[in-house]
Amino acid sequence: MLPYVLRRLALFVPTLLGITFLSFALLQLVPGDPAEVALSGGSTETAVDAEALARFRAAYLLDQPLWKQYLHYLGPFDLSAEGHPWFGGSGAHSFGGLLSGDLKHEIHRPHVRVIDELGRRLAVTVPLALAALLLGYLVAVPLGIFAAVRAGTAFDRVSVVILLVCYCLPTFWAGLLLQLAFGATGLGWFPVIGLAGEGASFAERLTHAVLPVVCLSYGSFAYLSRQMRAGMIETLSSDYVRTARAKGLPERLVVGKHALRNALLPLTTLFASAFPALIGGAVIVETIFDLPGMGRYAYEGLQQRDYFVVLATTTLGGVMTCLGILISDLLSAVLDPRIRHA
Amino acid sequence: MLEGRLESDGFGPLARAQEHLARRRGFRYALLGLALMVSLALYAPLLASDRPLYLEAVRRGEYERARRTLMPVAKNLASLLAKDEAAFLAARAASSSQTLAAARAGEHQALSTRIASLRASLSPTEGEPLAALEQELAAAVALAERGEVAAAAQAGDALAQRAQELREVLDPARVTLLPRRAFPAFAALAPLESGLMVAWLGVLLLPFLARRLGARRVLLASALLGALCALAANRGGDAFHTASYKTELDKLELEPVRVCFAPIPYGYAEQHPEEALRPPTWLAASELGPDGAYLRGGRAPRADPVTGFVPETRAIEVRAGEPAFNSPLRHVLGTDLTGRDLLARALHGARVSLAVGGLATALLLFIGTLVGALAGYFGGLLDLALSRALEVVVSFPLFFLVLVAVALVGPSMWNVVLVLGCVGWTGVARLARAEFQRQRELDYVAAARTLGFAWPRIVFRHVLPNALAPLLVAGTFAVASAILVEAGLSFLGYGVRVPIASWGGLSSESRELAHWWLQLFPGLFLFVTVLCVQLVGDALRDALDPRSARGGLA
Amino acid sequence: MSALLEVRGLALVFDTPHGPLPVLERLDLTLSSGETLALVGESGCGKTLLALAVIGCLPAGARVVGGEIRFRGRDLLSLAPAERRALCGRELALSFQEPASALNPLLTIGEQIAEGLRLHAGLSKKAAWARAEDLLSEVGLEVRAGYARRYPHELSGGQRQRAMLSIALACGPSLLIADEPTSALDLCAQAELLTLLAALRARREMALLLITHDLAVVAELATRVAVMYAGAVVEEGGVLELFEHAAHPYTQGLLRSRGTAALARSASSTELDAGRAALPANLPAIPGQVPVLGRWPGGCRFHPRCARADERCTRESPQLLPAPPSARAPAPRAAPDATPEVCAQRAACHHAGEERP
Repeated sequence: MLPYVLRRLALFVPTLLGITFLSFALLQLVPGDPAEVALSGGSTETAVDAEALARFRAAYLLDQPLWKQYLHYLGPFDLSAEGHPWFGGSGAHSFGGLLSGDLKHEIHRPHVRVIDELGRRLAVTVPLALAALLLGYLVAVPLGIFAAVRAGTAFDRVSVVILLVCYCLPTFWAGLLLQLAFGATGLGWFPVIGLAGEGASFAERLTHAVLPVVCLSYGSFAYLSRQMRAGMIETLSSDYVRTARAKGLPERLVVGKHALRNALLPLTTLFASAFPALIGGAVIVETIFDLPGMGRYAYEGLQQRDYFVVLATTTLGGVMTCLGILISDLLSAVLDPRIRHA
Repeated sequence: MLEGRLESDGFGPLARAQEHLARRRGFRYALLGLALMVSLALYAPLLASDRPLYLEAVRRGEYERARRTLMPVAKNLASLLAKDEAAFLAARAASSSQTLAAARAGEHQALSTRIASLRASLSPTEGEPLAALEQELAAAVALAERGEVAAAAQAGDALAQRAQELREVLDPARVTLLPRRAFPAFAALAPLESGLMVAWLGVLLLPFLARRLGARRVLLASALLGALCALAANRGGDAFHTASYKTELDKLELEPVRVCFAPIPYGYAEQHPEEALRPPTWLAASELGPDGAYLRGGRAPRADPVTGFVPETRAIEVRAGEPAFNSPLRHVLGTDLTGRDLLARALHGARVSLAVGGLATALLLFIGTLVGALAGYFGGLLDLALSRALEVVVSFPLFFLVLVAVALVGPSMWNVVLVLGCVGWTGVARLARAEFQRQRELDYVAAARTLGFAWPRIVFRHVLPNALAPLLVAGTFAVASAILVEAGLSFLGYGVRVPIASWGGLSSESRELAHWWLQLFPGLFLFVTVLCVQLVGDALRDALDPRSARGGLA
Repeated sequence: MSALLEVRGLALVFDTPHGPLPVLERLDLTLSSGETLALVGESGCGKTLLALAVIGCLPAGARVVGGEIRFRGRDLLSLAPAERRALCGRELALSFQEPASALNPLLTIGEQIAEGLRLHAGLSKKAAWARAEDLLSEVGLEVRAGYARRYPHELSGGQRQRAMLSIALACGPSLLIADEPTSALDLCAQAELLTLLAALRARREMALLLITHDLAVVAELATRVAVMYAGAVVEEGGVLELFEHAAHPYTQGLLRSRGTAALARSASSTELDAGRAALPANLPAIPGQVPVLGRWPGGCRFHPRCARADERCTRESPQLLPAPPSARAPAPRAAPDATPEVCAQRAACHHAGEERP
């Protein structure tokens, strides 16, 4: 197990580097002069303050070659004029960049550090995402098993249709429908917008979170459940389950011990794709429900052309997904001796 | 055991897949639904248009314009015919670089057009003086071209004189104007559009013709026919008819004899500002008084309790070809912020959504298959490098990555397609890689190698067809997810730009829950399409994947 | 000694979208305690399904539509599921054909053996584990090498087959059904495994139902042979009688094709050209192909491939009857305590008594 974990962690490093590189490369896609576009917020009429422009160029090293810009962004050394003495800087601000935890300041609110704001936003997104993930797995797995064991019955047929419908529902549409149905226009059960304010009770916070969590989780829930059912049906017809039956094991043990563990394997792999789906979904869900989360932050950054925010959220999205993949790989290794020993 | 037996006896995998699909009712319905959606999208300009499909009308407005301008144009031409090159150059504006010949040709053209449009509305006998005018025109221009300025000037004056007379002779009160036929909605089609429409007809007829003629022949024939149609289609033509046919009909500049509008007589960009945000007209809440005020429900205008001010309303303008202002069919899905018909917009939006789905999938299938095939077939260092690249791309949430890329590059349909194709290929590449790794070890590849075939031939001619089935299934699912991603992007405002909006964009036009129809209906189109694609994909996977086939049979 | 396993008129169908597809029809089989019966036939004739029907683990879609399966006189088909499960694994055991897929990849070998022991013998976890290690060493997998703690993917094909056997043997069954125990193995491992099987059978005094298509295996282990063709037994009898005096043309063909195969093997290894020249004369041991499931011909199912077939064969389905003396071995050499009815050579052929063509 340990060699596998070490090898997997070693592979994690180049992927992380790749993520930072791709995030950086994405910004090179912007047509025109990035500094001007960023400071004018994308519109051509706004006059751009020359001093701000110079500051922006200096902070981003826009007049320097690309590799230097990348290394500056990556850190841990600051390569600008006030940067580390090793690189010809004055030494006033030796360290900077991603590796030293410096994500610069927002362009339009220069007093706000991106990393602080990101922390505040994550405090909204992460609990929502975790709740959605938990809800997804806790409901999807038993439902999938139940449907598979009763394959072909009315329950199975109905659940297959419902799951397919859930799977095909566009997130934003589902969010709007949820608001229509449960908000003030419909049943009026839940507030449809924003978070509970400061000092709100736990119950209030909960009611505010219900619709976003449902909206965030139904997609992965449907996907997981469909996969679980398919995997379980396949496993139940496999040779080793037949062997278990031939041993005279009761059905409870056959399903619970022999089939379940094997059918769970693909689901641990799917964890790797459920996680990024949640982060992507967060952009839409947080926009619809007006939640100040990380997805919303990225969207605002895009709208205001705030490169530091875009860069930070993109990198963070990549890192979080990568972590999800790592976790799912380790989980599979725990479950599957073939991976462990490979 | 059973499976082996069936296969050995002519039940090949393909035949079994076909049999499986034929048995599956959901698959047939989904295919039907998908065909319907594609048809709606493709034929949208004929289903929802502010141009009539067929128009037989007296073009009084056009006739009058031509008649009134006949004389001035003729005078212009006459003065040009009287000038020589030097006089023309001296008289022309300093900024102009026009030559005398070009100016003459322009006026000649203008006069000919007017004569032609006058003649088109007249019977041959009544049009005779015009024929004579045309001959004189030709003669005068010919004289000028030969350089006989004096003779040309004389002929030009005669021409102007003649035009002056004709203006009285041709007065609409003295002659009878004949109606003319036209197909304005068809005339506005781009060549590619009309070609696709014709070719798609062949696809729709496939189930009926395939048995008699063979599917391949039908498809080939319809593709050929489509290409011919695209080549023969009129380029431009009436597409530049800028004035609205509806307005002309209303002003009686067009006196209709027979006119047939599209089933939904609204263009996707046609606005009815006085009817903005009207709920679906089959609802009681949508009923309006003659002054354009809602009669019941929360929308009815109410006096402000403090000021007593009653918001003003405007009477609904019912244009030619449109249903009456309280007809339930007037706006079946309601209208948007500027009073555009939502159904018409949704039909045109279907084109964007489906085109993005199809094109992006084609691109990502191409990239994914190429990367996967090379990595899987060659292995080694190339595989390692490509796999790392794949892992990096996979490490970004797809939607997030596409959003950022499209937002940075600039939103447009082609950018969405490009970005989706360049970002979404990883799933296909993984599949292709695994499949090529497996196939590489099989004997037929070794046999092809010993025969000395070059690798591109082995990879793409021998291995690819064998690895196609799982890629086809993945491609179907990719269409569904591409449509969803595009809708999400458009919803956030980073998709296709106005006036054509995709379904996602239509949904985002108003976040007010009171305007529920704007959110409900476009999403419904989207949902049904994605559901159909998904059902087709599910059926294909079950039919082509031997693992699930085993689950079904033994 | 009475019959341990008795299959009478068993009929089994596969449900397909086109309706039920018969797989076994009117199948009779008898097996006494301690006896080794080999069930022989081409692949696809229904041997494995018979084994699964006996053990009660039919795949989805397959169902028994007639006949009975008696074990020690009790009809297994009429037992309640729980009663039947109690028999499976303890009295009746099946060792599956493909050990690579029939062993659970996520559990150690020891766990998979101990599981049955804890259930049927009520052993504690520790005792079951110790017993599992004993069983593994009994099939030749040394305790010291730690096989019990290994996962299936860490074993070779032969080792997996042995592990599979020890799972089946765990509770000391009185009937072991071994489904193609050697087909996944190379020649060397095959020989070892057969020796092991013979030794185990003798030591434990259990009955063995050996399912195979390999006549060499039959000759080595079995006392009696039943030949299956298209879902029914067409001939049965003592192994020596059958090998020397087969009455059914299909059995005769099988025996001839084995000779052909052996000839082809030797020819290809030694003198290729001569072998090639010799082949065509011997090759068509049984002309034609095994009929597709559910498209069985009427009358005798073998008649389209049979040289002796006449008009009656296309019409009437022959019964499994004692072979006429002319076709039988001169002096039946049956075990002294076996009933003559069980041991007699029987064949289902209208022409069983005639001279061979």
